Amino acid sequence: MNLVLLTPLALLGFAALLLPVLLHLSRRQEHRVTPFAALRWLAGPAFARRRLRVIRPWLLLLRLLLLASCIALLAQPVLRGDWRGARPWVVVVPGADLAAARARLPGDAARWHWLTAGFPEIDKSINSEPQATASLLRELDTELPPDTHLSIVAPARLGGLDGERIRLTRTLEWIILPATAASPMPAPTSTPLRVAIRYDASGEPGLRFARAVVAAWNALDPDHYVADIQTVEHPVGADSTWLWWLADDIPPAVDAWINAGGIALTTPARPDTQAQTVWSDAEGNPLATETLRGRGRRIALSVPLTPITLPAVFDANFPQRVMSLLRGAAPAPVQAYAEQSLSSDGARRATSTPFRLDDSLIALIALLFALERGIAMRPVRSVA
Amino acid sequence: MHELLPAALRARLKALRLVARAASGAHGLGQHSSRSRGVGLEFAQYRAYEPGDEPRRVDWKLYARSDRYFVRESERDSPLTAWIVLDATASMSQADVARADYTKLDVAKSLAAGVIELALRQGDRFAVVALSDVGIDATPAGSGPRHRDRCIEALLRWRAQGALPDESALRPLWERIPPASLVLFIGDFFDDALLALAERLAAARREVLAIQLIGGDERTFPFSGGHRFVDMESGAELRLDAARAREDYLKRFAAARRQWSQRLSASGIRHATQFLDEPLDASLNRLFGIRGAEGAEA
Repeated sequence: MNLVLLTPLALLGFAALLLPVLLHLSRRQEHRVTPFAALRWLAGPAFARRRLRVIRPWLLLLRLLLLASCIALLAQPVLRGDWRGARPWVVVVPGADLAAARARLPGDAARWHWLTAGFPEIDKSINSEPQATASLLRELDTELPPDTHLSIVAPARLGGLDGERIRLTRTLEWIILPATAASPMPAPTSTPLRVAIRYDASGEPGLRFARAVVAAWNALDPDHYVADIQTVEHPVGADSTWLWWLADDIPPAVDAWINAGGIALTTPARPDTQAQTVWSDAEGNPLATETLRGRGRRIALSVPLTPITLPAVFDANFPQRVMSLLRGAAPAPVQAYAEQSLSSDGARRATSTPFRLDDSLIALIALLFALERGIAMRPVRSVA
Repeated sequence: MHELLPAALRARLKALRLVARAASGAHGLGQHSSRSRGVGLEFAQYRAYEPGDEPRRVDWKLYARSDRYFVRESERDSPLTAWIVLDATASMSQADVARADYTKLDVAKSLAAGVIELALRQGDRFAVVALSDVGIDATPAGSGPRHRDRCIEALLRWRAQGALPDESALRPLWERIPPASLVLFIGDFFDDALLALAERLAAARREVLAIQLIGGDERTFPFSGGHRFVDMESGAELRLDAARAREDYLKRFAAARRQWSQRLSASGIRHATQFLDEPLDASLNRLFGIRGAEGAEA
């Protein structure tokens, strides 16, 4: 832990501390001059010669503190590093079996915290929303002082990753436990992917290519893709993942389906500024554009699906091309087996987040000011 | 500038009389009993006829009884000479904090003006003397309204300055003030020299009276806090905390006042104390009041 000043030049303001000191000293020298003929009968404890004397020293002390706090506020002090203490930390990824972890890590020297936003104490209840585990780990790694020992209790399957291997600045102790029953991790699915194909009279010529594409996919991955070929009148089921729309206009129902998270491959659409070209031919003419709609996507082919307008339908890799269009950019893996996502091969240590002291200083200044006024306003008993 | 003789004081002068305790001078006719026998109202004694006595002063009824000539003598009333001696040293510029422009010298001048007025009404002779560092500034003794105006003019001229001159400079005062005249000292008597002068005059058959002027601040010492007390006469100064010095000062000052009173009484000097925050006639009443005039005591 070290204290850092962001504007150290403000410390020059400490010269202002001389002001109250001078005020309290110089007033002592001001004796009221009183002509007094009967001086010879006057005698008293002579503090007369002691010039340097502070009157109301407590008030002076308060004023000095007040000024010093103001100057310190100007200097913007921040605390870096170990403001949370040097005890070892154990963070528990929500979903891990806490009892088992406690059995594995006996002793109460460590601080137990949840690996959620704000790192609450382990006694506090947390909601079981999915957490950005990797991000939280990096944050914790940055905030903790370098020499703090950190243990992580994680379930076997770790969620909330972002595709990047977790690199931390310190050596971690990973404790991998089987997941509790309360938070079962979804098993990888092998259910067939439903592809809805809707056509009308204008789009019927392209229907056979669509059929062929799905057949080609199934040839690579048998029975994984189920084609649901209907005319446009039939609604698109919610269980369909992809939609190949072989008609001109898109009815509102289909639009709503896309907005709810569906992915649709459609005929040419009106130009849209937000559309992003995802497929161009050799000359650079855009063949397909992609538009984000709500939680879903709409991929619009620029040309009708005929061999004349789109010679690429005869290409051998056309099914793969359509597949990649529909899948879009591959999402980063958000889940991994904890054992495999571990890495602690020393990421470069970034500067830690400084802890600003402004609020506490302002509170202190307000308190000191109130005290100072309170004492200064108090009637002065005959100045001794 | 304050009015020298405020109306209130002038009005109360009626109740006052300048009275000399001892029979005084042998000059002229006045209100005061004198040692010289002669024509007058108050019977004094009979004495044997001597050639040259006026026949009308012979007591013929007594002659009828005793067959001898006796001359009837009365006490002859004589005028008094009142010398009013003002201390005009720097210490007389002392004033109370509550009334900073009303100095002891102002009070002394007012008292002097009152006594002059009193003497004028009684037909007595009077003179004013100021003692300051320049020595003695005195008017001659005289009587009558014109002399009163001369004295008032002198009073208005005087300022408080310096310290008392030494004894040799004060000697002319002895020569000027004849024996058996009334000498009224008005001053603060803080300086021992003035008191010594009054004592010597009293010992030399002058009827000496004294009015001691004491400020209200000097009596009660109402100060608090740090003060730098400055003596105007010597320039000495003393820094101290007034509140802490108060008790001690009051004790010492009261002792000093007792001592003055004893010394004055021992010399037969009638005296009174005039406080600055008192009505002006307080001390005059004590000294010259018709009721209980002889019991004047501070």
